[in-house]
Formats: sequence, C-alpha cells, structure tokens
Amino acid sequence: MTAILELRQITKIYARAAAVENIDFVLERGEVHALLGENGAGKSTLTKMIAGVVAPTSGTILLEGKEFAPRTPSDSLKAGIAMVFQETSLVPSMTVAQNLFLGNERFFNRVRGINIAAQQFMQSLSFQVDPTLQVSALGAAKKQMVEIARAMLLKAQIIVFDEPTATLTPEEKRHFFELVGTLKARGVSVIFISHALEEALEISDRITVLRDGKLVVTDRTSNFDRARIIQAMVGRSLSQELYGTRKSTIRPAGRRVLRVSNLRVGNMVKNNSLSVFAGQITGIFGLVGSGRTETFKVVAGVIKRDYTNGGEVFLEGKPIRYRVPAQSVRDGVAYVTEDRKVEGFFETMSIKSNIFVGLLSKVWLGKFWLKNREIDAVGEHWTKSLQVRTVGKGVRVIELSGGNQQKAVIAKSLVQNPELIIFDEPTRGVDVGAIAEIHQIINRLADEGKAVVVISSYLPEVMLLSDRLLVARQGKIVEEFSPRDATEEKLMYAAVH
Amino acid sequence: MFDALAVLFRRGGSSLSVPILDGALKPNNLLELAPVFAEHADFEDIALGSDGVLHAACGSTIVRFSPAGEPTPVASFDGAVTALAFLSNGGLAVALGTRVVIDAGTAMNRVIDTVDGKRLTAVNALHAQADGSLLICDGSTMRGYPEWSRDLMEKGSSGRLLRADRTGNMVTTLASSLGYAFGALSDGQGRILASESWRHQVSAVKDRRSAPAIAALPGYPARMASSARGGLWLSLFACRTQLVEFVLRESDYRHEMLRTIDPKYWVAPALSSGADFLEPLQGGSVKQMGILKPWAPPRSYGLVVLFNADFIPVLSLHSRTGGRHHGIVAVVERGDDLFVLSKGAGRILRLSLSQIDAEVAQ
Repeated sequence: MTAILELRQITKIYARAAAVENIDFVLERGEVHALLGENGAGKSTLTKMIAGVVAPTSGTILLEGKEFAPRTPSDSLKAGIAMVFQETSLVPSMTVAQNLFLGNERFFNRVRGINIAAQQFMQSLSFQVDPTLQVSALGAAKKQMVEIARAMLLKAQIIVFDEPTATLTPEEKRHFFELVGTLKARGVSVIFISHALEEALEISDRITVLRDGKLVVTDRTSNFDRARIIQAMVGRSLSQELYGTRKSTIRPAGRRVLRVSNLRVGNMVKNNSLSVFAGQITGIFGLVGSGRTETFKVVAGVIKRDYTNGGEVFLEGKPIRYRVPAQSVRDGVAYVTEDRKVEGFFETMSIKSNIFVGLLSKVWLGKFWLKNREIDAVGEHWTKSLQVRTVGKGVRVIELSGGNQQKAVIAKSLVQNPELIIFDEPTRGVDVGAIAEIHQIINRLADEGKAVVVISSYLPEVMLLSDRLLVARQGKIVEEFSPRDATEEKLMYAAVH
Repeated sequence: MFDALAVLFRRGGSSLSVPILDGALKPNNLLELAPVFAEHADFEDIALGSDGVLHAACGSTIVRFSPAGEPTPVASFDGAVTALAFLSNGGLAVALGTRVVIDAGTAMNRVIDTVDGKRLTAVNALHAQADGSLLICDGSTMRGYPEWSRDLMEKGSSGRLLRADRTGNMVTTLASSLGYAFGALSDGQGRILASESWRHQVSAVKDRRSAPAIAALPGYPARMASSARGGLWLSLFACRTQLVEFVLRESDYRHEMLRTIDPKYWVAPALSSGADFLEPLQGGSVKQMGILKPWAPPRSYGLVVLFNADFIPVLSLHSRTGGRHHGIVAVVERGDDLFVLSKGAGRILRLSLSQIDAEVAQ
C-alpha cells in the first residue's frame, strides 16, 4: 500500500501548551486506521489539522506526496478529505435532503428533486432515513447516518470519523462497519476515532495510540489486544478496574424510591412499568429508540407524559406529574443528561459557576447578592470531591476534556443532594481513565443509599455497574436480570427480540 | 391539576395501572414447583401448635399432620372453620365465620360473636400474641366470609381488627373501616399489622388508627406470619389486574354484573382459574395451542413475599398464571421449613428455606 496522507513532526500549541507534539503519522490508501487515546490525548486536534479546522504550529502535511496546508475545512473537502464530527454539524432546522446537499446546491433547486436524490442515495447506503424529515426531529443515530451519508456524497478519498458509533445501536454499528468495509474496498482511507476498543480491534487495519499529545505506538491491529491498547493509552493497567467480568456482590434493594406504571409518551414509550430502589444501581439497557431516555426524562420533568392514559409515576410513594425540571430537582431527582454539551452545562461559564447554578436550582439561598467566595467554596468542594482536573481556577467548562466535563455535569447534579440520580450514558465520549473514576462515583452514590439509574448502550458498562438489569425494547421494559445470570448474549437477545 | 380535573369529569384519571412484579417480586416458579405436603379441597388455614406441629383447618375439623403429612383429626365443630390459632398457653382458638371460640374443644371454651354491638360477620384470620391475647380479623361487617368477592365488588371497607384478652371476656376494637381485614400479626418489634386486601396494603395499627406500612402491593394481601429473620411472610391470594381495576371504576357495569351474572363468572380475582371456559379473560390470557402464557394477566395467581423488618421485600415465591398453586391464603415458617397453603389448589406446600435462598441467590 502507498501512503495517501503523511504528517511529519506535526505540532499544535494552544496557549503555550502543546496539544499535539512532534507526531509522525502515515495513512495508507484504502486502510482503516484507528486513532485511540484518552480524552485530551490530542486525537481531535490531530484530525482537525488534517481537516483544515485548525492550522498546525509546526510540521508538514503531505497529501499524495505533495505538501498540503489547508486553511479552511472547504480546502480539505476539495482535496477529498471529509470529517464526520462527534457532535453532528447538521443544520437542525433543515430537512435531511437539504442537509445532504448543503453547499452543493444548483442555481435552481426543486425540493422534490433533492428529496428523490437524497432518498436514492440513502437507500444505496441502506440507511432508513426519511429525507423529508427535519434534522431536529431525528434521533442521534439517524443524525449520525445523515452525517456519514453527507461525507459519502462528497466522494471523499479520506474520511475521518470522530466517535461515529457512540450513538448507534449494535445493529446500526454492524451496518456502519459494513459501510467502512465498502469504503475500504473502493480505496477510500478511513481514520477512525473511538473509545470503544473492541470496535477499533474489529474494523481497523492499523492502530495508533496517542497520549498527552504524543504518539505512543503505531502497529498493525493484529499485534494488539485490549490490554495492550489500554496500557498504551493510559500508561497503567486499567483493564481489571474497567472490565471486571461481573459483580461479586450485589447490593440488596432498599425502599422503592420510584415506581413508573403504564407510562406512555407518544410512540416512544408504550405502557412502560418499572421500579427503582434505594441503595442499588438499576441498569437500563436498550437500543436507541427503546424509550429509555424518554421514560426518565418524564421522571425528571424534562418532557411530559401523555395527558390521557399516560400512566402514573410515583416518587417515594407519592404520585408526581412535573411540568418543569425544577420541580423534580426540588423533590430530589437529578438527571445527568446523555448530551452534556447541549443540556448539561453552560459552556461559557466557569466550572464553579456551573456547579453553583445546580445548587441554586434546588434551594433558595435567601439573598440577591452572592459572594464569589461562596461560589468558589462550593465549586472547590465538588471539583476536589469528583477530581475534576482543570488548568486554572476560572477555566470554562467547554475548555475541559470530555471526562472532566462529564464530572462537572455530575457535580452540578450532586450538589443538589438528590435521592434519585439518573445517569444517561454517563461515559459517552469520555476517556478511559475518567470512565473508571465516573464508575467509582456512581458506585459510591449507591453505597451511600441513593437510588441510582444508569442508562447505557454499552453492555460491559451496564453489566459491570448494575445491581439490577432492566432491558428496554420498543418503549417498555421487557426483561429483568440479576447481574449473576446476565450475559451479553441474554441482554442483547432481550433487547432485539 | 389535570388528574384532579380528569377525576372530576370522571375520565378515569391519568391511567389505569397496577404495580408490577419487579425487583424482589420478580416472578419465579418456586411455589409452582414446591413439593406437596398435604392435599384436601377444604383446607382453609394453617398454624403451628405449641409443640411445633403443623395443624390445618379443613372443613369443620382441625387436623394435625405427621412429619410425612398424614392428617389426624383433633377437633371438629358445627360449622366450617375459617381460621385457627394456638394461644400462648397452648389453647386452640378457632373462627367459625360469625363467631370465635377460644380454648376450643375444652370445657373452658368461650365464644365471641358480638363486639361493640356489632355481630362478627366474616372472621377470617386469628393471631395469638405473646401476652396471651388474640388478634381477630373480621373481614367485613357487611358480607360473610364466603362472599368476599361481593364485598370487593361493593368496595367494602367495613373490616375490623379486634383484640380479645387472654380470658376472652374483654374484646376491644383496634381498628375499623378497614378495606377487608384478612390477616393480623404482632411483629417482633411489637407493631400490630393488619392486611387490608381491597386497599392492597398492610397497615400498622396504633391507637385505633391505621396507617400504611406496606403500600401499593401488586396483589390482594391475606394472612401473615412472622419470619425468624426478623421480618414477615405475607401471602397474597390473587394479583391485581387492570381489568378488575377497570370494573371497580365502572360502577354501572359493576352493579349490573353483580345483579345479573353468576358470581363465579364475575370479572373479579379468583383463588383458582382455568377450569371453566366461561371465565372472564383479559386479551392476553387467551390460550394458544392449549397453553396459557405465564405472563398473561392473571385471574388467579400464587404469591408469597418475605418482607424484612423495615417492610422492604426481600424475596418472593410465585406460581405464575399458567400454574396451579394459586390462591395462597396462609404461610407458616418452622425452622428450615416453610408451609404454604394454596387454597386454590387445596394443597399445603412444603418448601425448604435454605433451598429458596440458594435458588434466589442464583
């Protein structure tokens, strides 16, 4: 194979700190190259330089042997480099078809024409997405599909996928892997960033591991196993800590904190019933669209259940119907969202301010003027308690790595001293080191007697954490497992059959 | 607000829901697969004698069981025995529906048939307290014990919990207006508990007032027994279903049903089912290829739950919809043995607690 892209001694410095330092990277034609590393390791910076989003401080990029210095993403796109971002870059108010052809419109456009073209193209990829739907109405998985389709439509020679499978169901993932195989067969080179190590091991030809902005190792995938990757990523062995096969002890159930009975929310949740007990972690596993998130968003007052025959929700034995999330917060419910960047924090505010906002939503402090000292004290307590790693004191949440952002979001909820804590995909887009720390936080809460719910699409995670495992399918809980008799096969079978 | 308006305009509130069997109540087949200790269609109640031997009320007689389950009659009465208990002094107390006989079978026997000017109507459970007194459950003052189903359909709430002192001369009302009292227990912490079947709860009774101790049960609670682990065993004679809840909400339909339909075909919980094709079914209970799905809405069900001292469910034993050991009305623990009376099947089941623990731990 010949190299299509080569990075030589590439360096990017942000505010005197090197995000990427002296990296040599070679992408061969028609290969799938997995780029792994903890959050903050420099993966995104590296790929952003390739995609023309940021310019390198030093070093050179060679595309097909020629020097290449893109100034904007469109330069890269013209040169055949497309990037599918972790957070979709689609326009929510436009339809799927409009998004697909955005930037490539003709002078005169027929809506029907682009809809048909989009439909045909999506079908050629076997993506079941209605091109006339507004993107804002799509779920995360479907948005991802549109994003991938757009990159495919641009006939890119190099496609960079940043966490493409994070929001996909296992079936969709398989579909995606087949798609990557097709791309590879067509001679397209793929850079694949993922936190799911199994995926990297499954579909890549070579793996590069970055740590702290430096290249640790590049080798053929066949020479790697999970332990070696983790060792390279974190510089320490976390495999036991992260992937203990199953729980040795199961916490006994305490009082019933939450009872959901025959809940209905449109077509998403259909007669769903479940209980959550104190002192336990209740794991909810299900594929995208199984109604898990919607069920707990009703509990947290984020969305409302159907007005007629919408079922009942009891918190500590009392019937509840929240109109706004603030009511649930006051009643001791915390919902840690799956989409932290949109719903989890105020990105322009500091960590401490974000945490203090969490406190303000729970209690009225009885004064209009707040001293910075008070805000700092609360913020410092929680950043220390949850080991949020920051560069400086007033650093904004958006400047943190994914894992530390997630910890800040958790701190924002825990400051409210909730009795029921709902974690929706708690480690999505979080680096391996932070995963273990977030798991410790979740376990600690259950040990303290709190009722904890963990919604996760990641089977090893939900199996590792849960004292009870509930499987959701098509809008309702269909099966309950004890961690002792749960296997990945059983859970998946319940989720899809 | 919406719920209140919906109820006001009789739109049935937000929904028609019943608590589900999850957590410690997750269904299993432990009751269904339990060995049969004794079998007779007329079994009504079970209790341990002062010597630890199991006794049962069977029709109008009290029988004593050998370790192998062979029954020997020890007393007989002029009517069907609806409950029995052994007093702390070794004496036998029995209920005969409308009266209670203390120290029954001896010359010292005393009969209680009226309390606070009201005649006993449906005495269905007795519990002997350590101080020699006796707790008496008078399920309803409106309908006799055999008419419990009618009492439910009439939304009866006239149950009473009574206490007779050791002499039987002084009987006091501990609680009244109970939603069908069907089980009493004085637990290890001295709390007096009463099952309220139609309210799906076990209430703690104190100073003539009752408050829910175990609420939102998924079935109709019946008699209770202490557990050596510090908690209590609760038998539930049937599970709640949306269909029955719906009928209870629709007064016109219910009154018409009471007036025109044979009680055995009412849309109401039953102690056993499946014997007659005229029985009411919910959609999910329709048999396919001659088999009833175990998760079908149950007209009858077998359920026993162990609660700890904090009234938190620890484990449960089930005979699911397609099973036979339904209509559990009494449970007694003796050492490693757990005796369970399935009135629906006319069987006393004997389970090993250590085996239950092993099964549940798997």
